[in-house]
Amino acid sequence: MKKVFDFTRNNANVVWGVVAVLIFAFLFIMGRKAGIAKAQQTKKIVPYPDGGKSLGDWPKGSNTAGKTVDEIATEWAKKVLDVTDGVWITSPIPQNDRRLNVFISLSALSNDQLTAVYNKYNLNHGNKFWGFTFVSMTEVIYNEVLAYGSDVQAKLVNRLKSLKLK
Amino acid sequence: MPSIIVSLFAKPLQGVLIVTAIMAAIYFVGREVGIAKIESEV
Repeated sequence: MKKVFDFTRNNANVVWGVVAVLIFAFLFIMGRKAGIAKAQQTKKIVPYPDGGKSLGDWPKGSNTAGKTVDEIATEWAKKVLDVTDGVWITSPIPQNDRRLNVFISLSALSNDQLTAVYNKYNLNHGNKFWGFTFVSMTEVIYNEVLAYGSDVQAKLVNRLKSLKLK
Repeated sequence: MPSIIVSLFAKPLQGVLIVTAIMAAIYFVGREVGIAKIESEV
C-alpha cells in the first residue's frame, strides 16, 4: 500500500491523466449510448422496392428459436393483425384470386404503421425483418385472415370498397 | 462588481469552461458515433 501512495505522490500527473482518460472514456461511451438511442428513435424504415426478395432467407444461425420461417411468420402475422385490428390498407387485388380476392400486403402499410409494429414488438432483426415480411408474411397473413372468419373478411371487403381500389 | 470578485473567478472559471468544453465535445463525438453506427445498419 505504501508503494502505491509513494507512486501516487511521485507521479501525480500520471494518476491525474489516468483519471482523466477514465472520465473521458465514460463520457464517450455515454454519448455513444445516447446517440444510438436517438438514432433508433428516429430511424426511418423504408420498405424494399422488390419486396425484400433480394435479401433472401434468414442467415444461418440467426434463427435461435429453432422455428421454421413459416412458424415465425405466423406468429408475427398474428401480432400484426392484433395491432392493426383488421383495418388494412390493401393493394393490389389480384384478379384471379380464388379465396378472398384480396391480397393483403404489409408493403401497403405506411412507414409509420410499419415502424409502430416494429417498435411495439421489438422485432429487432435488422433488415431481415422487412425482407422476410414482404416475402413470406403477406402470404401468411392472407391465410390468417381467412382463418379469422367471415366477420373480419367482411370488414376487409368493406374497407376495400371504401378505398375504391380497382 | 468589485474587481476583487472578478479576479477570484476569472482564472478558475477559465479552467472550468475549458474542461467542460472538452468533456462536452467528447460526449457529443460519442453521440455522433452512436448515431452513425445505427444509420450505417440501415
